[in-house]
Amino acid sequence: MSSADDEILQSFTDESREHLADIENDLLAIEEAGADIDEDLVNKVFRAAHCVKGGAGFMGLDTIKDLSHKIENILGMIRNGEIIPNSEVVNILLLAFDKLRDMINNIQDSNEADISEHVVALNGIKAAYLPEATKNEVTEKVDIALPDGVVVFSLPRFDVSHAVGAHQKVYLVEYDIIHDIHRHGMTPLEFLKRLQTNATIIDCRVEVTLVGTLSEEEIVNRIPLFVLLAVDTQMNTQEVLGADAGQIHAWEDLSVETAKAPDTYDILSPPEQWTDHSLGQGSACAVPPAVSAGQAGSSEQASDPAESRPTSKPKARPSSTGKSAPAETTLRVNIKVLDTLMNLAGELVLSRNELVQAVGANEANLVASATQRINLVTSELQEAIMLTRMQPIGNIFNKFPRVVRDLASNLGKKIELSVSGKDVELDKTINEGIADPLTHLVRNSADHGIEEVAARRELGKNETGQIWLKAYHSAGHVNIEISDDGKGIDPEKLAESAIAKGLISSAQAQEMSDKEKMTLIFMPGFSTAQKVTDVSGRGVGMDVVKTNLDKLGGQISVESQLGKGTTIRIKLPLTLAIIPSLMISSRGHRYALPMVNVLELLRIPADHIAERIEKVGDAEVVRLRQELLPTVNLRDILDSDAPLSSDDYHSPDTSDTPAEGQAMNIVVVSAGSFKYGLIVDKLHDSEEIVVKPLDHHLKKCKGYAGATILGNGQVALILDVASLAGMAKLNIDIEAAKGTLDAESQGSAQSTDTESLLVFGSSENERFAVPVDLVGRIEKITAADVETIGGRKTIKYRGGVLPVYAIDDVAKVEPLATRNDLLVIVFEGLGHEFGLLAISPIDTVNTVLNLDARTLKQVGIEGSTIIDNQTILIVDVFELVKAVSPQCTQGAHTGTGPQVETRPGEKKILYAEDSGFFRSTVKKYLEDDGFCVLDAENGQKAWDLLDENADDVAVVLTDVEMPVLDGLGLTKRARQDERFKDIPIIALTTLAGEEDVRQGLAAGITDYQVKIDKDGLLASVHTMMERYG
Amino acid sequence: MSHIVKQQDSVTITPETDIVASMANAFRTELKSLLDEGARALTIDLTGVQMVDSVGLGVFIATHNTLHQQGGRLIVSNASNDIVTLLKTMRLDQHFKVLAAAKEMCHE
Repeated sequence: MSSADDEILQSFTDESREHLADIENDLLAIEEAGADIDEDLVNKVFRAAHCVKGGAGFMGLDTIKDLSHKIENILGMIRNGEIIPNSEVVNILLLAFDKLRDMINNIQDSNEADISEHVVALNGIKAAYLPEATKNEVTEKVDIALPDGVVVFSLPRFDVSHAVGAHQKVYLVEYDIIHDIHRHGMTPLEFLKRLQTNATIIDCRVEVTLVGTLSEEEIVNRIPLFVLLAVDTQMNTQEVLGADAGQIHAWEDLSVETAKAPDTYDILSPPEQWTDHSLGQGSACAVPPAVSAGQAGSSEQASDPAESRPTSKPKARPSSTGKSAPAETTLRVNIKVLDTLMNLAGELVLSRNELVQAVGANEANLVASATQRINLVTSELQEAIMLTRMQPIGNIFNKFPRVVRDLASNLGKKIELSVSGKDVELDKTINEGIADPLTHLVRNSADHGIEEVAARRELGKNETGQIWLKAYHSAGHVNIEISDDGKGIDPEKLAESAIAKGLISSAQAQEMSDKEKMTLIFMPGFSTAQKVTDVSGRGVGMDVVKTNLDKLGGQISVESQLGKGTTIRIKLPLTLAIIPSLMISSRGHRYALPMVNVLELLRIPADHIAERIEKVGDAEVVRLRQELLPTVNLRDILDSDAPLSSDDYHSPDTSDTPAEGQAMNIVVVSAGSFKYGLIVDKLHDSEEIVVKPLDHHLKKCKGYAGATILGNGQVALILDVASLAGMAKLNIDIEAAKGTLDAESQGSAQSTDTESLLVFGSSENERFAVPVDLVGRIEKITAADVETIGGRKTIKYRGGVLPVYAIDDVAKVEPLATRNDLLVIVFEGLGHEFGLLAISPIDTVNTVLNLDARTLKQVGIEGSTIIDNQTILIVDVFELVKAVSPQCTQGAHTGTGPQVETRPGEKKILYAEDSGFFRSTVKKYLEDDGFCVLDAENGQKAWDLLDENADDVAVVLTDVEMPVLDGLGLTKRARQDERFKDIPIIALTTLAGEEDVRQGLAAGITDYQVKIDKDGLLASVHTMMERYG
Repeated sequence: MSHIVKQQDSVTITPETDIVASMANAFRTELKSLLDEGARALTIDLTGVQMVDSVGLGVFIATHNTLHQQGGRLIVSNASNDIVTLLKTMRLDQHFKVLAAAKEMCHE
């Protein structure tokens, strides 16, 4: 196939795709309108089919032509009100259009495609609806004659009337191939192609009999060609048709008469003359010689049944190479954008001239002004070029009404789709990339989200489910929301399913918040395989959706309210080619971090590093507000020991760790669902960088997303935040952090029956433990650091003095081992800070605690438990401190045990807490403050106590997470009771997130307090007491 | 000179050059002499032919007309896509048989 032909084919496919793009929605609208047709709409679809037919006919794509012809017929009948477009009819049309689109996408093999099924279906509609008279129209032929009465064409009346109806003008033009084409230096093919750019050829006929035979001496000098053309353009007819006025006959001037012998379907097969040829039988020889010129108009000869030729024998076409279906290689651009580009190109040339002159003249200020201009023009140029790649997201959205309609009917549900924000524009690449993920999400909503009609009715919801598809701009990103009012996602079920599949352990599941559980849906391997249906199970899980979106630099999140619906949000960058990035450097190399990933920058001054950075195992974590973030040191990860470059922004620093006395720069980055701190040597500006893909031999390098060229010509690699985390095995680190230090702030997230204990030694033989929740941090010291001042052991700690105790100061245990390297476990939040001297090994254990509170109980030791066949003594830190320095604990009762007699009538505090440790610790410091405490291990027991002591309880303290009845449940129950509707209820948590607080307040909680913040809690209790009492 | 293969009264002629005005007269003469010799089934093999111009079309039609008078038939074979498109658009395939290049031969 020649390249020119390739080009035509390409433009044909492009144009056809464009024609077909909106068809689905139009058809659906036609279906909706039913018998009350919107003629413009039908016309639009009709024209689309017609244009495809015309082009396909010209390209010799017979199968496409035949199918589009059939479709066109049906649409014509719809337009004329002969067929009512009910859902059955529209369904057949939709399927036929699907097939058409398939064939166009696979144009090389289109002629081999099997369309018989569609043809039968379409003919079926026609047959079912055609009244007798119209049936005649299909079979009846008309003769089309020139004004002088010579019949040129004989075509089915049906086709003719449709062609005339669908186009503005129909002409019959007489050409002479030699005179009009050859003499103008065109080949016949070029001529036809030119003609078809502005007109549709309905039929064509070469008057072969006028050409003569070989026996004539003179070479033929006349080949008459009649063309029946449909024109829709306003342009000059003569120019379009390439003919003089005398050769052009308008439709009105032609005489159209019913052919004398109307054909029937039976004789739609080729008339004799060419039957002979196509069958290639010897008998053909018997046909009489060609008729003379006078008989040129004979209808037999002129008949053109091409359009109604049976499709059972599709003409095969050569498919020159095994080329795959061409991907979209062309793009239509708004002419205004092109004009702008042209203007800017002009500007650029002018600026260049200016610069050349300025440099020539060696004038610094001229150069500066030229640079400024080039800067300006370049930015505008960049923007304009970006615009050419921008496409409305409507291109993608438009296919969803069809998808949802088909799904709804397949699933027997009623679903309505509302689409908004079709005009939002996205880069072409992104637009193409999100099509599949979006389809998947919409299918999910329809299949799994929206309930069956009966179920919805029972729930009191509208029978028709709603799916909303929304696109909007926000903060330089495009946001897409897919929401439904279906049954929502149950985070518990997700967790169960994930556990069943072995993706997470049940312990992990218990530590997860609902929000975290929701993100399980994106885990690879989560896809609920048993639900593979025709509809949404295409083997593509949500993890693939996420992976696809990740590739596009997008982010996805799920929000769901059980029973009310699910919203999925996708955040996408506008474009991929140029991205704003933060420039950083590490070991003298510059790197770019996409701004999308950057959450915040953290600079820790040298003297604060010790406080803010903590070590868990080998991993460093940084304390940021209420969170502990795992950190990754870029130096270690990239391990680039290459010699330092001459990066002029960077002062060489070859040491392995940041030098002492140097501030630490941390970029807090988000890699989708989790975030971490990336420790870098230097932070630089943010820049807009042009992304260059890495060449294939660098493709295997992990951690890089691409490269870019900096202003000074240097190459900088673009960091891939997610794969850096993977390289640092950060997931494991996160787990580790969760198990140990993180627990400090997330104690309540622990399960109801396991406790995190910090196990340590004091003497060589005995092992002790304290609840991790009480531990602030652990410091390494040497024995010499411990000073005894005023009879008390202290160490210098963060510029102050920290009292330290050894367990043997109080309890009768073996004395502290005489080692040089000691550990200090720092407790805080129990009123003041103090340290407990310990020795390694030190470990954290998550265990189901069976506290033996009798056998080994003594002052400072709460009891014992057995972990890994070893007896561990649980240290009662509070009692320990009180025993050594009673004045350190405010208002402590001296010497007495923790038990306080409950006197009837005294105002009491009810304390509900499932963790035995907290229950005893908090109870103890409340009692030491003079309160009388009733404690309960869950909400239900607390309620019973409250009910019994309705008059005595002044304040309720409750944990939030508890078995049987949780804190919120308890609160709600109390608030419903007339007696307790005003009682102060303080929720105790270890971590109060905004969302938790809001929910709590909504449930009726009066105040939130952090468990280990003794002072805050006591203050709050006092305030509440006063207010209520 | 075109390559000619005769087999009883069926003849295949392969011009191996574009069928355009400049060669039309010579080609015409060749065809005429073949038909005069009594060829009844004439195949014009278009292998290697990129283009057929208006005059070339005329030659095809004239050959068809001549054969038709004599009770013979014309086949145009191995036509390139362009040429198939051209002949089909002009509906000339209704007058004589047009075969596309190579692999589809067996279908016909």
